[in-house]
Amino acid sequence: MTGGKAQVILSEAAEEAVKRIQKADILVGIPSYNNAKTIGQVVQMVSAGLAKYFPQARSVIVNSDGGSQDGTPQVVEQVLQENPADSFIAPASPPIEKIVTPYQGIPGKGSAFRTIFKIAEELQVSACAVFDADLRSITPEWVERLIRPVYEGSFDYVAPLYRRHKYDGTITNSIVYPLTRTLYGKRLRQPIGGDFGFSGKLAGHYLSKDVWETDVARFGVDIWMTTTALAEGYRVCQAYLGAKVHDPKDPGADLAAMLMQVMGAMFTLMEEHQTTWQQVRRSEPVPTFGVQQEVGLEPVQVNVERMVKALRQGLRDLLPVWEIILPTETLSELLPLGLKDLEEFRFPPDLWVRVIYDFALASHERVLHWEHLLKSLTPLYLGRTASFVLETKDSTAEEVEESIEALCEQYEAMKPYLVGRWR
Amino acid sequence: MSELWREVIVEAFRETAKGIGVFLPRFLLLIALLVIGVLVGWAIKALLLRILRAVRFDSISDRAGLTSALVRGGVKRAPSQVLDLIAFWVVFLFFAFAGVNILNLPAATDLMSVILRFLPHLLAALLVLLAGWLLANFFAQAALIAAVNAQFPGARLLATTVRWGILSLTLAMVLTQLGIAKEVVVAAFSIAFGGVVLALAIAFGLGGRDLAKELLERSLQERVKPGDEISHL
Repeated sequence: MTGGKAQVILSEAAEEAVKRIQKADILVGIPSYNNAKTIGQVVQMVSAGLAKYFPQARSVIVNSDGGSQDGTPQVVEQVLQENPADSFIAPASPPIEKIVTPYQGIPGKGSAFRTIFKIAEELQVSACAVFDADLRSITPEWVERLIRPVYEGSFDYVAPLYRRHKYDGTITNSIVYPLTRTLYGKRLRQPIGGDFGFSGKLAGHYLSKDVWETDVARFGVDIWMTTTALAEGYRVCQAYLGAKVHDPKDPGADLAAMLMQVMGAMFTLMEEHQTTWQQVRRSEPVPTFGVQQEVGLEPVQVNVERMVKALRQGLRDLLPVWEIILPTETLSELLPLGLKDLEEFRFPPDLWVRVIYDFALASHERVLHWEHLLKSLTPLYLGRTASFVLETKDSTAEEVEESIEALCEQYEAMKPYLVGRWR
Repeated sequence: MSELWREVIVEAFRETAKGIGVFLPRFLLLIALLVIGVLVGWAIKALLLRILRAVRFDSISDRAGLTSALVRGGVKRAPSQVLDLIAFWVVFLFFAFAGVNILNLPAATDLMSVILRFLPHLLAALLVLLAGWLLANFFAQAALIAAVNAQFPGARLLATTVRWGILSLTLAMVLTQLGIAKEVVVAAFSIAFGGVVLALAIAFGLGGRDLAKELLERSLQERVKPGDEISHL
């Protein structure tokens, strides 16, 4: 990924705050945009976590806001003035510093992170963490889990490990986790979790990358951070955080656009790190911190019929497009899926893996306009998700995890198919 | 009398020989120019092909979607070969026109001047046609994918309508550019386009009232049905 390497310009207030603070040990960043309802609790938990678990460290909380209209920065200021961490702070502890600043650049989470990285670099911090501003289930322990492996250990990157409903995170489970694991050889279960811990060194490295005028600045920053850490040999681990509950996303959010963003970022990163991932032969577990706890998860409603209908329509109407992307063997195995009854409907894992690899190859060879290519994956993804729901409708969470593991093994076993065709 | 006949015949032969004497070198020059045109055309074609390969023109075209657009339009050659072929014919035609001019035949000269005057219009029309055809394919494909992803039942019809809408607009522009029945084309296009819009408005407004109601109801029912709670990321 390349782009213009514009200088990060911190706001005047942020520059002054950085000059005043001079140096810190830990930085926690909270990117936000119109999160007034939830950000107060996130700031409270972060403050409490820093005070409780890192009382001797000089800590800074940074809110990097994208111009919220609902008074998000004011909520942060107000919460921080109330000193929520007071009850945890030991008398001799240094106070927790705060920086509330708008970010510069293209609107998006990536630009918010860039400001956080810049402040981290200026303050020469040892460890950083970032948390989404719409979290409802964050606790002070999350801060400890994501920061300690970096601050007191030798890790550079800590990915989160959430307890999720078996049908939650289907793009992660069916594409992002298996593909990242297969390509880069590390079993990071939530590569795009949204909340991460990382070292000051890695923050500086991210900042030096020439990506801030590209899509990384808008979206895709999560997968970019994870992949960069994996592909460039940084020490990675993961930490249990419990259940992740966040503000409900916009129900009208376009699945095709979401899929395009994630897959687009993954395929672009495959181009950048092709020499690295082609040499990886197998995957290995990464160190995992914390204890996995059973947590109650609300049931999730899934309309399988509509998903299967989407695939059937794709097989009927999108064939001219898929004929350009997929080889004949893959297409000939896909076509019979449109004829199956709902209860008997199954999208075999090996066929799904071939579809993903064929899309990656088509993206590499640019056989079609890129956006069209990525968006045309949607009906196939819905078909695979429907099949997954049907296959696991009576399964426990552990059995579902086993089935995801089997899918990952399928990805790894078929990697030579991808490598052999990548020119 | 016989003297007169002889003079006439001799004069005729002399004139013919003179004519042939003037025409033959010019004709040979025409042939020579055609041969040179072929040779120079081939040389430029070969040189251009090397340059296009060096700058990876075909992979750039792949990325820009030009190759797939050509395939969809029934052109099996690579974009570099298409450009190469165009370059050859442009060079060859240049020499051919020069050759015909040398013949100095009034009809040929007139024809040449008409063709030369018409050539810019023809080139502009070809460019409009190419752009329109590429745009029609691009937007039809975008509409098809978006409609399928929205599970719109008439996705293919929508894509075909988009394709032919853009193509008919392109055709009207091409004919206007070529100056063929300009007024008729503009009037016909306006009437046809307005007519289609009016027909659709009437069809949906009156004839499709019940269908529209049913579609809206079905869409609302679909929304009420469970299935929107899954979190994909």
